[in-house]
Amino acid sequence: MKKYKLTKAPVKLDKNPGIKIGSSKNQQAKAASIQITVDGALEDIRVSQSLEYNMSFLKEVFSSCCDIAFRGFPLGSCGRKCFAVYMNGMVNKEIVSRSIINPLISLQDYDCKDITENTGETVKVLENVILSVSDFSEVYLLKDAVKRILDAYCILFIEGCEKAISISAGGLKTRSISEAKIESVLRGPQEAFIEDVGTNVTMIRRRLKISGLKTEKFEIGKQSRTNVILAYVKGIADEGVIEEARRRLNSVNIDLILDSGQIQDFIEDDSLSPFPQMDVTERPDVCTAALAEGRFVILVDGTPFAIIAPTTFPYLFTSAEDYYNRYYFVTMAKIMRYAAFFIALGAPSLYIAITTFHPEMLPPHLLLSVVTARANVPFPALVEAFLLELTFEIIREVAIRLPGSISQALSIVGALVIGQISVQAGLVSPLMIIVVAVTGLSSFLIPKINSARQISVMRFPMMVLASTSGIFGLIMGGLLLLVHLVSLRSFGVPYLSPISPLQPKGLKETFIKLPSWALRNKPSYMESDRVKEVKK
Amino acid sequence: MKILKYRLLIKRFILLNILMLILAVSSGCWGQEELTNTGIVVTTGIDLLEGHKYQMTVLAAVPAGGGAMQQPDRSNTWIGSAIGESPMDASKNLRKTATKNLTWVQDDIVIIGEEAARHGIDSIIDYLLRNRETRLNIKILVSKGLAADILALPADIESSLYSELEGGILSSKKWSKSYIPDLREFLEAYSAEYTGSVAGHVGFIDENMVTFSTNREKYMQFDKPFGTQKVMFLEGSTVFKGSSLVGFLSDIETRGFLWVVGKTKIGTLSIVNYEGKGILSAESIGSKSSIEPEVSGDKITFKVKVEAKCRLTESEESIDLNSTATIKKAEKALAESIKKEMEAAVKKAQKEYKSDIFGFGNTLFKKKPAVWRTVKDQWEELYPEVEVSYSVKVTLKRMGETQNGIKAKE
Repeated sequence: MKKYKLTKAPVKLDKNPGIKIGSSKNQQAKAASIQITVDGALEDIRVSQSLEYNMSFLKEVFSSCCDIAFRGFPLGSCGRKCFAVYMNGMVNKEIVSRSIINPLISLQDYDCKDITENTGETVKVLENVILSVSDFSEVYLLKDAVKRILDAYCILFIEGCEKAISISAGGLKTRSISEAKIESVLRGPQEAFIEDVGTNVTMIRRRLKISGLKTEKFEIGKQSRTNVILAYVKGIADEGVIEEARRRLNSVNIDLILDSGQIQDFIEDDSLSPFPQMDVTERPDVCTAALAEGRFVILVDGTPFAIIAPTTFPYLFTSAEDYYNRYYFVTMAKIMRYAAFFIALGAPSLYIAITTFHPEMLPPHLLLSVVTARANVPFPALVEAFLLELTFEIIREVAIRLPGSISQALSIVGALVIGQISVQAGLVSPLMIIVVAVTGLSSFLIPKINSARQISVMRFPMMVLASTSGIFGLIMGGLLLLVHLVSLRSFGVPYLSPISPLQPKGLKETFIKLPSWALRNKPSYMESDRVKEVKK
Repeated sequence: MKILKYRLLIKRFILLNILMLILAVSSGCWGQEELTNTGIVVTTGIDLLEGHKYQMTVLAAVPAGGGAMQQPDRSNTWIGSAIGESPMDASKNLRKTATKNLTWVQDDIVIIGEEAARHGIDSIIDYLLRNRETRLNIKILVSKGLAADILALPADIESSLYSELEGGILSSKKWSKSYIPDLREFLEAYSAEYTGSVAGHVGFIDENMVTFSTNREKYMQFDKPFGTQKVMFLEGSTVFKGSSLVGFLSDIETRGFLWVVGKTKIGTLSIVNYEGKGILSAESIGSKSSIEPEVSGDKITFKVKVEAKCRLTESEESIDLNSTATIKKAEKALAESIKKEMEAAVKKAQKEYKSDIFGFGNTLFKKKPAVWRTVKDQWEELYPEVEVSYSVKVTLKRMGETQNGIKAKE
């Protein structure tokens, strides 16, 4: 994703110096001197009593914006003018016309009397008597008005008032809540987050009906001004961790945010590590469970993917379904996932190591069939493995990009060309195909498919190590990974907890899963005394 | 501050990569061997020829290519033979004719020719032990005649002679009429002082009964009677004294030897002609043995104690097995037969071969070290005359699926 750089040179609207707060005397001097860099950098100019001034200011700011709407109308029979500004499409037009414009146009005489009697209190009167809207606030600076307009508010300017009224009329069209596509489960809630952060927060709130669920709002991205919600449960989540999360969110310096992944890069403890220290999910139930366990959730407007932290390594091996299914089945599945992880990481390299360095490790008959299978292959095992792995990765990548209607072509190419013809052509051995196929499948068994599947990319350096120094190299690679894993932290929580440092209590959810009644407490590694000093 | 930290991180990252690169490069290709270029030796035969030359014959699995989809139509066993000054030299000379790079990592069986064995196998054992590629679980066999002759036998049923040998070794374990130690087991006795060692015995016979794999139609095409065919067998064992072969143990003697040293496996049969009434046999389902030296004055006797739990496998109607008393009698008879087998083995080893294959001397050393010190030097002379007593206890644990034997009613 390209980063959009802040425009350095300000757009000059006029040569004259700007009118600052306090210099209200000369506000008639119209939209003389507005300096715009980006919207956030507008100067502090107060809302003027003159409608013309306000209108021309906004028209300058929103010049060449076809989606801005100015709607001027008289304030009933009071003889004063006003106009509403809003973004087409971002506001619900029906609300605007029915709840804002209509009552104002049809102001009766006795309302006008109220207004004319208390000229200074016009806004108060409107708020209390006329406008039947739920979200009503006053705006004093034109800069804020601009911001509000962009945030899907309808701004009402009234002649003679030194403040504008901002009314929430948000009516952004959103996708309706649908089934989880990436993290689908057989049993359990089926709905997934959508792009609208408000809806997403509601989906969590609906599952966690306590006042302790806090949702703090951040605005990140200089240009996108994306709403980012930090959700946590006060009293369960560790204060230090939350404070650190706030600090890191506040220090994110980016222009444009389109997905939570961009934030993740900024606030992760070690973003160079191949292991994700935050989990990504599109499931509200997963978020809710995480919140109840003392983790925090970051929801980003515009994307259905929320991120969860602190995340530990074993957490990547849990699926939402684990908590809904019967425990012995889940236990088996969990053990299988760990096994699959090691297969995904090490199977091709083990194959390479054994065939090039340690043929004595295989029973003679197996070795014979390996050799017979490899007899016609012109490449060394490493090249063979790389060829196939690469092909697999290509097919996988293509499968993501390919529209569903032509995916059949892919399966033909994948199954026939890669599977059969390449063996017949003597390019690869059938055993290698088995190894790569099993590896590929295993890499998809890591339940956090969005965040953690990439771990298996580590198999490529492992393959190089295996082909140069055999099992020795494999062990070295494994040790390096282990050292790295042990030193990782996710918001102060050791990445390998509860395995290292060992907390026997936490193990009941790690490799096995006990029935739900046995899992009352939150994970022990989330206890505040376990959280190591937050670094970075 | 942040930039500094990133620099540090990147520096570390690069350093790590360089480290890994060094690891990759410096390890080089030592020990690296592409499997496709390898001939996997599975059986080695070592012979001593005239003029003190060693001949090494190997069976190597050399994949004949053919891809994976079709079965290779050529034999994938390569038989090579070479002569050299020493076993190692001979093994190097094999490469003169080898089509692949030979590796011994999967070698399971070594066959030592009779001539080489009689001459002494110190150099062969050293060759097997010193090389990284040969393993300690390699099976030691001695052939009557040249090992090369055995290895030249064509395989009948299996794809190669190696598979047949391997299968034979596996099946002979439950037979107990042959004993095939692996190198480690063999060395335990071989390297012990005053202890003789026992190796396996492989031979071939001209057999009238031809075994071949074919179908009925093909069988009908053979109208003339078959000639004889050489068939490999594994039977009995071979006795070493010091480093040289001194003789062979027959199948029954081998079983006696196994009873004494407690190496009988589950399935070892004991058989007796019971009071002239018929055959009674039982299979071991677990046994243990111990050797106790007893010293009284100058006289040293060894007491061999065997306890065997057995399962009745054969009986006849005339043999009464209905009461505890009769069962006890049957047990005694079986014990007597085991004792006889042991006596035969001990006698052969003591009187004929004068090789302490049972480790009597070693037992004395372990249990009565003081006595051993005094007799150590004359052990060679003492051993053939030493007295051995036996106490065998057989317990019939299971009677099989029936009680008394069955007999047709007239």
